[in-house]
Amino acid sequence: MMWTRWFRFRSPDDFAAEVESHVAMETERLTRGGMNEDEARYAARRAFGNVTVSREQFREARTGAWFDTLMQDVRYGLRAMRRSPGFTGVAIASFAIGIGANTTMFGTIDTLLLRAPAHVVDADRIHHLYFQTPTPTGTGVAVPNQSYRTYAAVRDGAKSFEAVAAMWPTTVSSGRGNIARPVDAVLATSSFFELLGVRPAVGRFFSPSEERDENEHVAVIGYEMWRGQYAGDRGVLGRAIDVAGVPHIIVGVAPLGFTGVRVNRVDLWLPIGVATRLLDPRATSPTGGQYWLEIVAKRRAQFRAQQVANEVTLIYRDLYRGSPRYEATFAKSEALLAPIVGVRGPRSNAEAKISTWVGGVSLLVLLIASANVANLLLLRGLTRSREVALRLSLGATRGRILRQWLIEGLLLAGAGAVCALIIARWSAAAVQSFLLPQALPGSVLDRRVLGFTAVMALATGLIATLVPALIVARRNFAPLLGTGRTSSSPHGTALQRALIAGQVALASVLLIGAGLFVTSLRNVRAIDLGVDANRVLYVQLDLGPFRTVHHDPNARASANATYLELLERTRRLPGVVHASVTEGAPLAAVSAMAVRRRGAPPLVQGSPVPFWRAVGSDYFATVGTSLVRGRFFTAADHVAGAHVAIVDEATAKQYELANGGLDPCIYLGSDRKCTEVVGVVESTVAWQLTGDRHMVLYMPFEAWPSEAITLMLVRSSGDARELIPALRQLVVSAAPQLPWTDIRPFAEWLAPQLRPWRLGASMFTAYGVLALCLASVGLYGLLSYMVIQRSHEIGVRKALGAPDGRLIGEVLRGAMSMTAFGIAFGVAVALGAGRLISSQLYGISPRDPIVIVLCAGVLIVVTIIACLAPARRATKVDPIIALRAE
Amino acid sequence: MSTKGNRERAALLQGTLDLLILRTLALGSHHGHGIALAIQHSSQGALLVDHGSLYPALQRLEAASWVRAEWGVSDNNRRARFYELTAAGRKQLAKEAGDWRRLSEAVALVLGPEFNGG
Repeated sequence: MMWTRWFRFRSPDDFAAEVESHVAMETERLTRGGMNEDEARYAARRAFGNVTVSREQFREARTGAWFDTLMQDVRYGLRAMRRSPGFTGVAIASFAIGIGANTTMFGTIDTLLLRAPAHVVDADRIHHLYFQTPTPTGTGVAVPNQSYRTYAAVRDGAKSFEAVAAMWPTTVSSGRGNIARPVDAVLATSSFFELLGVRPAVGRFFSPSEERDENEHVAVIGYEMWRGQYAGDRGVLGRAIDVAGVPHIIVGVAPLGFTGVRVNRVDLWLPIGVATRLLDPRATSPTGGQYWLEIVAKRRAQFRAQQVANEVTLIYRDLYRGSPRYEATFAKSEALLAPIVGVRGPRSNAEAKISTWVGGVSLLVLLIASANVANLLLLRGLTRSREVALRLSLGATRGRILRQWLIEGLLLAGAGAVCALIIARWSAAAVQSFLLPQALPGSVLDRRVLGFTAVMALATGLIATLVPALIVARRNFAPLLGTGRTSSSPHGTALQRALIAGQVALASVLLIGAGLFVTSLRNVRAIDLGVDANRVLYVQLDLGPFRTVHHDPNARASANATYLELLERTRRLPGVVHASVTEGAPLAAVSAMAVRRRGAPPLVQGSPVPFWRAVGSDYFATVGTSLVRGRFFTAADHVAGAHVAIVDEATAKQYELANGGLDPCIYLGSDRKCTEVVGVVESTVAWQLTGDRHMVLYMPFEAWPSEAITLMLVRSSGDARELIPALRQLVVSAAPQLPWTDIRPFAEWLAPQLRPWRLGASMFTAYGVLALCLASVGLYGLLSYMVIQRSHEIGVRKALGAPDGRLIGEVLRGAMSMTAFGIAFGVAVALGAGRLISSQLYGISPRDPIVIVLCAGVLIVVTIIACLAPARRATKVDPIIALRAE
Repeated sequence: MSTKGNRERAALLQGTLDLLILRTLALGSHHGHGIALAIQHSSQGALLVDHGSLYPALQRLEAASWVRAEWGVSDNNRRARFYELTAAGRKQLAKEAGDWRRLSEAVALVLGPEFNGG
């Protein structure tokens, strides 16, 4: 076959053997013809002609020869690398940093934006349905959550879909009492799995009859859970798993890495009918109005997405005809088809945006790293000019030398890429924990990422070597055979200086960003929340669907009793300073109550009203909200029929209450009786950490018998987290029949809100430090080589009596000029771009002078450090040796 | 070494060596030394192949897959590399032989009857 000839190698030894055999046969022939043996051999050799030339011709003509020269170049490159370990180390480190940063980000970006979910077939035809309904006052927001009614209408009415399914991601409690634990689950219709085209690893998915979860209760477990808790035993089929108190038979195991259409891990797949137990008994009935599930559908190949969206829009509008204010709202609803790749939705996703930005910065860092190495290679190329001139004069072609340098560069980039992968393995995990906290671990570094890294290594190796190689190769080498000196300017060419200045500029931009975000984070952390987040825990019992507990008097009474009993026991627990109960969500109340003080005009529609909260005794002491005026509730207030309230400062101000807030008579809602305000407390943070404080009104719990307790709050003497195990034990012993109880410190509720600043601070600091390292390495390299280049000139000057100080000063001046330019440019960019991030900062202006000065200071110090070694080398030049080398 | 004078040896045109080798191998497989002798023999001593230049030609032919080579044992019990014509080689031989014939006919026409024959 023709193509195998490219790889068929005949070794030179084989050819030599053939030649030898030929000569021997000719010798024999001549000997047989009567010649004497020595003469015959001589004659045979002569007849053959020049053996060496023949061998060379064989070598040249060998079609496998390209591989041989490649190996030769590689070996030469490796030798050269070993000979200058300092340079090699720096070059590899630069590449590793640049490529590593990109590999890290690519993994995350790939998962967030590019990758289709695992085990999904035809992912481009599968869509997440979003619906946007305008409100009377606004355009509305696109949301995926819909009612079962909508799902049924789309499933039955939309002809352009091949299949339609519904799903609901949630956390369910498995087990009771002691063994209760939360499990990440997704409730889905049986059509979900068929739609995605996924096949189970073991067993099967649920059938349409099991979907409603009426007679049989089934479940499918995730692969990791199967491996972890059931040790990969195939006998798991048929065993039962407790789901919110009901045993479900396991009928199958999902394949490894399958997470449905989202990124977060899923341990349990349940039939959609389970929602009737978890959420609301009417969740899956056509009359249920709750918006809870998400619709996933597979478009038929012959339709375009927009056509299909139009069809769904019409179905949706039709469905809600007859709703109040239909013309202003549902008549203008729009259906949107979102892709299921990554986390893209019709709304731009914060994590995706951040990742893209950081990815952009990574690319920039990579470019800088390549430029750095290119610079170093250029300098090395210049010092090797003599060697190049010699090789050229011996007959090497420029192409051959270029190729050899290219291979050297690729070797460096390759080594850098390997280091990068090692670094990325662990840094990618760190980045992922920031941006994708619930995604499957280990899903970030895979084949695509490896491929990307290889491409990056190739590209950077090429760029970093080609540019300097071409510059050097174009020079005229003849004059260099003599002295081996170059005639460049004292501190490198303008291009090289500009490169260093550019790196310094990038480092300063990133460091300024880091400073701004770190300060913002500190400011945010220091916000007075009005609540002591570090000491307070909340305990939320799972007593059944919220609606049931709230509306059914018996369920409510039972729930309250449970909480109160638990409260008693908790107060006796060591380490607990205060404990209290309340209704509503942790920290943020959800109900509003109109307030009017006596004599005030009626409220204007749309004016802000305070939220209100029914609190148990000791609430304020537990939570840590301090009193501004008046007093807290006493035992006398915690009785039915009491008409007292405590307001916060914001409410007091808004309603201009008398006595600085301690108004003897305000009207709540439609109540005709006076309510006395007995105390004013500080305003606390509501939903958003940095948002406006909402107005809050507090009332004794006992005065509102129709409220259900939903929360117990506990204040610990030390760190709140230490109390969690003891509390859990207490809950289990007090109420062993309960499923998983949510016990969390307040700080955990806050943590996600701090994320943007933490993210900004970490990213900018990390990249700022990287850029700084690269810039200092580049500077060091440039200065070192320049000193070496000019050692002759320095020697002459020293011989003529130049003081050491002058030489050091020169090196420093050269470095400082580059740094000064870099800082100036960087600061200008930072000031200009400050507008872009000013909305993300807190309590600090993007033009804060302290941060800028600090950053400049850091860069100057680093520059001086980078100068030390080259400056020292300059003073160590021995004038005699330098002069003699001429 | 043959006793014929150097001057009388015809200079081999470029590329004809390939043709001669292919032709020789068409009659049977040989090792390199055998091919050189065969050519010398068949041409009745008029063509003396420079043994050294034989091998690059053989290498070329092998690379083009017109001949196949394998180590074997010669009649004198000596280890040698034997060359054999492939099917593609046979086709190439026919083609090159045809080219050569056309070339020599054209040259003969130019020379005219006074220089031909004789």
